[in-house]
Amino acid sequence: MSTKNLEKIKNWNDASLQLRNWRDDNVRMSKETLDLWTGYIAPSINRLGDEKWLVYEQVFLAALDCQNFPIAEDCLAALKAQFSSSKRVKKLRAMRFEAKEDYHSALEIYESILEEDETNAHVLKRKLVCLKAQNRINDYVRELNEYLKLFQADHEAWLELCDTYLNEMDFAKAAFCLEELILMYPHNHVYQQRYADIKYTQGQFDLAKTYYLYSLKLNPNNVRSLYGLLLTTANLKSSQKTKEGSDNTKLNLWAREQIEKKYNDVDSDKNLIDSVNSLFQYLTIGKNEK
Amino acid sequence: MKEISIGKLAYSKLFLHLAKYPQLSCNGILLSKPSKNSSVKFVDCVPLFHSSFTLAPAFEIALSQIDSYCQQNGLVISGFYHAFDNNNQTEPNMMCYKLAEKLKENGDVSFCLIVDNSKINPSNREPCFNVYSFGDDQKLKKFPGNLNLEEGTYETCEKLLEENRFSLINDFDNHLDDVKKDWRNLKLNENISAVESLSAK
Repeated sequence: MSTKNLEKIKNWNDASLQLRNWRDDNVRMSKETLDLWTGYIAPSINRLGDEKWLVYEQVFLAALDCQNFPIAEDCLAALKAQFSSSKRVKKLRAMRFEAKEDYHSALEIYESILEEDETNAHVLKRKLVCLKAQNRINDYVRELNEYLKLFQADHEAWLELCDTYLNEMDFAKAAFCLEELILMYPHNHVYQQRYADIKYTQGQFDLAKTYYLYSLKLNPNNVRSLYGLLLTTANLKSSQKTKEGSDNTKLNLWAREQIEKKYNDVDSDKNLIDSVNSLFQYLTIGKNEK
Repeated sequence: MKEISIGKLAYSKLFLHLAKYPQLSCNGILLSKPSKNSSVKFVDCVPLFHSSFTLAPAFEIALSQIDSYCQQNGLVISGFYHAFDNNNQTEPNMMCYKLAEKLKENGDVSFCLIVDNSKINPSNREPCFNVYSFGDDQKLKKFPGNLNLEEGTYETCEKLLEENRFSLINDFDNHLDDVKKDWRNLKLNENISAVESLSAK
């Protein structure tokens, strides 16, 4: 158990607390979870009381992730014994089939759950994932769009759809997904910045600049937005009228100063700063005093 | 061009990048020393991203800084690697094609290493990727020549994995999230050299 993350775990209590934190934060630390399970928790699982069922589920999923089927089977057996008619456990059974790439059996189970419970979002998403895992991207995108018609507020699904469109290089549709997210979360600087990234990639530098500025207003430490501002103002320099031109110059200089400060604040070595400076020379407009 | 080779450092860093993000796609840039003869040796690599590979801004910044790093160290950008998150995808896609096309601007040919997920087990003793080349014909084709690995490469990777060193590698995404994280991985380079000298004994 030598991963950095597990250095602080000294005993059973630390281990169970760490597992709880990972559960609450929905973090995917599968290998570490299994290490804690075999090292601390499994020998005295009953100390957890009712929490043990959540831990069984958590360890089951981690075991599937690491293709450790013996541990997965143990956990599933315990859950099945306790919750024999549970849809949630049924879903876990189906996920075991997914882990073995037997999507046909997995889908059969998901369909049977949906017959009783049409709008079970977890199971609908598992069905989607079966499509993604089989690389059936067109079907995946179509079904994900259908899902989002039912669950418009599911921001993770919007992000997933955005990423899928980006991989297919369909920037217009990816931008649309981010627009939905920005409407839902107007104060999230990451969404503003990512939208700006897409607009930049599409060559819409003016719009990109605007959104980088929104993002920086919300979080002036977003380095990607600072670089984005630098790039957009540099790209806009050749197509400017006087007022706009001088604004661009000021923003460009400001972005450059902010970035320099960031690198200096963490004591970056000379070579790295030189790399960044050569970037500036290429992207600076107006007078370069250094 | 009949053969290409890849050094321990480049291969190990590629491997560690994959190990750090097993559930995501990853890519990175391969660097080599300019050579007069027709062989290419990848001596170093810069892990780039583990998300949003097709967005231009981060990529332009990365490429520009890597260019500068190359000039400081007498290297050239000669290709890239890409690992798909989907277990079964082994062929390059449109994104890979565009990247290969972009990197070819540096020379006669650029290389694209597509990781084969079935070969990344540390006990494996063959290269974990397939090599494609992009030449003047503007096509991304499987490279028919030989691929040589430096001696001790696989053992080094196995050791690094055992010691959980993959958490130490930083890619450009990590750097943009926190500029303290060095995308050149200079400290890690030293660590890898230290492992090399152990396995040589």
